Amino acid sequence: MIKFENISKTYKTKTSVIQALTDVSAVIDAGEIYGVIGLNGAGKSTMIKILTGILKQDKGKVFINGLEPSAKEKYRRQYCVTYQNFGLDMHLSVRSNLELHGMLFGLGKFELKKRVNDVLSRFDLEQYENSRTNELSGGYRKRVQIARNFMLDVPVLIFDEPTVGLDPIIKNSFLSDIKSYAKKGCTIVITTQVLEEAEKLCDKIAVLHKGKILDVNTPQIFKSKYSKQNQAILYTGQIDDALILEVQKRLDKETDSFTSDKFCITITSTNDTAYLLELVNKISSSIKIRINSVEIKNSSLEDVFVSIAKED
Amino acid sequence: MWSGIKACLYREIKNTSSSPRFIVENLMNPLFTLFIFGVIMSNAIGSITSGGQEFSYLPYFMVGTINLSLLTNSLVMATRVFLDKYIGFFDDLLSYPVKRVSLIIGRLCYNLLISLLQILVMFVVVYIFFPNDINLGLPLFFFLLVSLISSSAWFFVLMYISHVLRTQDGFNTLYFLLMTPLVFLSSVYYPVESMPNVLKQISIINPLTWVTDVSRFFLLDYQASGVPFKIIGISVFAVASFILAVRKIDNL
Repeated sequence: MIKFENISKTYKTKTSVIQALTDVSAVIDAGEIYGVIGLNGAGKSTMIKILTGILKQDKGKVFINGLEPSAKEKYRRQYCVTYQNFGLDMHLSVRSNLELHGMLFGLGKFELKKRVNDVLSRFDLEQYENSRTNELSGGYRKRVQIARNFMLDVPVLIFDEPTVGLDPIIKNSFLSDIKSYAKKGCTIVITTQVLEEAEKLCDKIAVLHKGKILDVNTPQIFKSKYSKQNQAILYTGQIDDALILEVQKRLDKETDSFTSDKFCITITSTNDTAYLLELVNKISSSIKIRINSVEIKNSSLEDVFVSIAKED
Repeated sequence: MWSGIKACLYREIKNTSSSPRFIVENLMNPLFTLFIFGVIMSNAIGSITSGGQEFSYLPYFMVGTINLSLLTNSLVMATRVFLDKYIGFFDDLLSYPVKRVSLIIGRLCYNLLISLLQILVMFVVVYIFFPNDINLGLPLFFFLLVSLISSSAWFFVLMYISHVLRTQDGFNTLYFLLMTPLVFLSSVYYPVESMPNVLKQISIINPLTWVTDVSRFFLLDYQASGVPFKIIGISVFAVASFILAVRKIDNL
């Protein structure tokens, strides 16, 4: 279990004081995938660095499985982290970087070889195992960096914006690896700006904005709580006045609005999708124009995030 | 503790073995200095008189070059900390479940290994030409011991600085401000007695003068003044810089 208790952190520069985190509190249960979403400068990386103990908070406490960072090696043995920067030795080969990582976790020679070979194959890095890291593309470096985290059995895996630069195949395999580790009881903390990813992956999402956690919830609750608009898009062969009149007649002026162009009408409503479906049925049954297709769009987590950030 | 030391040594050795640049940087450079500067000065001066004794300049200069190389090696290691910081590897290193002191000790072991190699190469070359000027046996052993202690002292103090400073710019400024007085106000190239009085007083408190004098004492029978005090000074310097460096990395 991970616990943030009223964490605050300020950065002081020569010209300004930046409040990076303000009274951040969170509880992350074992086996949970906890996403932290936020814009640039929201404080995500600061939160991660305080969690790993390499940055000291001004106020508050952080715990991993009951231990504080002052427990030093014992605390650091609880997690494995991928920071945003390429935390690799660029002059070492891919294999040597992985070996170095295992050695720093105290793996024995036999175990080290076995685990390095395993991640090399799982992350499709075998052909590059002897290449120096600085010869690899950004995406492959990221791949090596992530592969390192999956070499070890630690209670907590921490990823700071891990999927930036990953190709879709490796990204999907990474996301499914994360899910399977979580199923085994491993706690995952992941920061991202890709909301779709957080939506698919995370059990809980915290919205971090200007150093404050604005809300923590499951992606589904987030969407239902903040979802303010759903849309129905009606695609027709042509839009005529009769159709527009019919739509106008059927809309609830309090909750609905619509726009139209040459081939489609978009109805936006603060009511739920069932209401929209019923509305579309009524419209299509009362006029002679053929509706080719109807698309119902839920608000995405992205809309939700924008809405929360705006509220703040 | 051991896994940290082993991993750091592994990293440095792997880095070295993958780069032929290493041979030029670490072994050829001190030899070039020794030959080009030492041989030219040796021809120009022939011998040097210090403390009422006369020495061939090349062996005299060799001891100075060795001590300069020990300082330079530590500087290179300190610079690499900034590279690690720049690429984000430093944060990674601090996040591993090893005692942080082991990260320093591992690098120190590598540093001492390189220092010993440099000493060996320069020693063998000079010994071939001046076999009667250089002591072997126990004095050689003490010379090596002093070299390793002084190398460690430089290493720790520079590690401390590289952990305190955020960027390499600050380190470079410090380097340019300190290196010239540190090297030229020492007995590396010439005896301290030949300096103007004010500069002589400064050079007496320079640790580089202490280690160079003590090294010459063991290797060349140079009768430097206050050798026991200088040995104590080097030891205190090494212990103090070790404590500073360890405390700093532990509190990062």
